[in-house]
Amino acid sequence: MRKVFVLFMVLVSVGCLSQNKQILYNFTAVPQSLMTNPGADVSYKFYFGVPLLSGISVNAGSTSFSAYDLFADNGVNYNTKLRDVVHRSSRNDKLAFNEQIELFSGGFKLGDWLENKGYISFGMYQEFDFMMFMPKDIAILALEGNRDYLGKSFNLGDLSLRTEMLSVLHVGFHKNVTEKLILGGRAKIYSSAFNASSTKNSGYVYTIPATNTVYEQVIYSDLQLNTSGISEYIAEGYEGDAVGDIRKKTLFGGDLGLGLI
Amino acid sequence: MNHYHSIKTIGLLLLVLLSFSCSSNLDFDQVNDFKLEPVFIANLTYFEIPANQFIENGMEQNIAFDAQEFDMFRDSFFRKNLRRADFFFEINNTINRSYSIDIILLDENDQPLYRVHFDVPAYSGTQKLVTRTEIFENATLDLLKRAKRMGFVITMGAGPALNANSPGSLKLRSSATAYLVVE
Repeated sequence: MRKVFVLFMVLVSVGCLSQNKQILYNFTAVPQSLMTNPGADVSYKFYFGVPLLSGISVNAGSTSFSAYDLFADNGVNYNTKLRDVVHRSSRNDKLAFNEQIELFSGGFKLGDWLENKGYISFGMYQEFDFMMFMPKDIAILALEGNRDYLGKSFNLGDLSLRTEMLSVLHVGFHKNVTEKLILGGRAKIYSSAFNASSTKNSGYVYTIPATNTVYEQVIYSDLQLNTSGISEYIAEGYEGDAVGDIRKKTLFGGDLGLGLI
Repeated sequence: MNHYHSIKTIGLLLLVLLSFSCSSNLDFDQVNDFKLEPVFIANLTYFEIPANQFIENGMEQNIAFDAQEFDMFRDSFFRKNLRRADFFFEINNTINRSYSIDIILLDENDQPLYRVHFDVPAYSGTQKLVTRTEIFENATLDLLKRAKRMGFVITMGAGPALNANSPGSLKLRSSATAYLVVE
């Protein structure tokens, strides 16, 4: 019975949500496991991460196509593959991209070698997130135009996306309360460099043959893009240093953070 | 012993099962082949002139001129990526007079760049559509891109006199097909 249970456990999978990489969970040899569980039993006397190098993570995904569909080295023309991917997708398919870089991290044990006064860990990471539903109709319109789609109504509501860049400064503490119980907590300050979202769009474009004019063409669009933190960069005539500005905001600007102005 | 064997076999099977993976060659440089070739269609221009409008103060006006803005190429993206444009014209004359129509593309100084000429026969009871497709490519496309206005010159041929109650109209409708290449 127990063996059946073990076998069952091998094959079972459960979906979970976390702010950080699930692969780090309970992997206490890696101090970053403190990011998933502030009570993880990391007990090095001290540790520090190599700035910008100690934690790099990039993740891109799509529910409708794979990198192979687009980039297979099989002699098929790239644009044919792109077209196939777009036509096979649906408006409910998602594209996601996430990137995280640890700017710095460190931790140290409080007190002397044998004392049990707790453990402090701290660090800062930067994160970029992008999520978009497949804008199928808009992609078809851009790829092929409207000539071959007389009578088709292109749905502009397919456009739905959200993107954000933020940085997080965090400090955590954990302590062995008893031999078998460790309590830990982590405080974070989130600072957003920019945020943009375009959801709840609607609209359509269609062309049909008409009697008086050659075509009857209707474009109705109700699109909205909400942004914060980037309006000055996308405004016309901006001549500043966008990269520098975003870096400043990522580092909490002049007041709250590292004082880089 | 037998029991132990089966566990071992299952374990081994699982190990083999979990060790399988596939990989294929990917070539990310293919992004450089990226090329969009959309083809868009849209209305170009339209007019309908009833027969009685060729009469002004009781006199036949044998020549009419009009020009309209032609700002298709104000958009630099469109100007840069357009490779070919087809203009389709269809003229339906239901007036008992013949016409010649010139469609002239004018540059910013109103100098003619390109002329499309139509001879439209008089209406004799059956519909006769005059159609033409003008293809703008290479040198003619460059001319088209410089066009800022589109002029129409309508000249009425000789024939039975028109009056305020003459039936029929001169109708023109046209569409554009734009072939873009975005790389």
